Amino acid sequence: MAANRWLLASAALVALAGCASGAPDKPAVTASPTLTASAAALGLPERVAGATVLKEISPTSGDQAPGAITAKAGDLWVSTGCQGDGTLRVELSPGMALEIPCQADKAKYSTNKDESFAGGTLDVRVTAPESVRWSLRIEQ
Amino acid sequence: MSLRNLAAASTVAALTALAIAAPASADADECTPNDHLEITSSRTNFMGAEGNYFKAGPGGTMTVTSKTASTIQATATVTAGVTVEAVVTTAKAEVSASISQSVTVETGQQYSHDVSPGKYGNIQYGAFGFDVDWQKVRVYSNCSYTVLAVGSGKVPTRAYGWQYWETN
Repeated sequence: MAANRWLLASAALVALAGCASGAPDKPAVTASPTLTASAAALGLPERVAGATVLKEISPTSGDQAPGAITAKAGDLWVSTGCQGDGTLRVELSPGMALEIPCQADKAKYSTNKDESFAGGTLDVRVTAPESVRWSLRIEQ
Repeated sequence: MSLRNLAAASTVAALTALAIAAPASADADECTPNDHLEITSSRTNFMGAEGNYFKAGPGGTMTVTSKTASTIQATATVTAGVTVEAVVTTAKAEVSASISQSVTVETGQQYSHDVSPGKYGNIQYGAFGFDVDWQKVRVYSNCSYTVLAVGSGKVPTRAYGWQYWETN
């Protein structure tokens, strides 16, 4: 059964989490949240325990091409956070891309895992409108 | 009594007999008597969102979009007064603060992945979480304790997204 595929053998592999402390799901304001006010609250899902950060980009906006990463074969984790009207697109070329519809009134986070990364160099490219604040972390 | 309940009752009875002596150095009334729940082990898992599993290949590129919104609920064996909510609360305190009773998986996220030649790509949308084992313990004033019940559970965290893997 496919479900068994997800049961990881190593208990020490990761201690998964949602959003890091200080990175609440909703903007840290109580009235008339604005992009500026809420952007400060934008964070990332917690780090994967025991994993190495290959690339991390603090909250920013607009397109970025932060360069290449080199990763070995095995699990590769891509975590994102975004807020604002528009779509965040993260490309790890060759081979992988994800798109997340972001919202102005709520920070959205995602954690994605490639269990079959073959190893090698990936070119990282992020596309997002200026209206979207986003952050990114790639771990292995 | 169902077979399942009978088995659970037998397990509890057997465990109840296993009162464990306090360390020799413990004072006679050092402990405040209490019953409490504790997590004895945890392992990471992935809790797939219903309707969001895709398989394609061999080879090529697969692009999928989460289209089915669903809620992933924590589950646990419940016995001896232990509830799912109690297991979640304890796991949240002892394993990860991001553990949640339920996680609503939103739609609209797209994921694209090249599939290795000759392999099948599998993509599942869902929440990362933990398999946990729990035990309910009764502590006596002399610090001896008895395991009243044991069980297991599956608890999601707020970290959700795609998981990709390949099969032959």
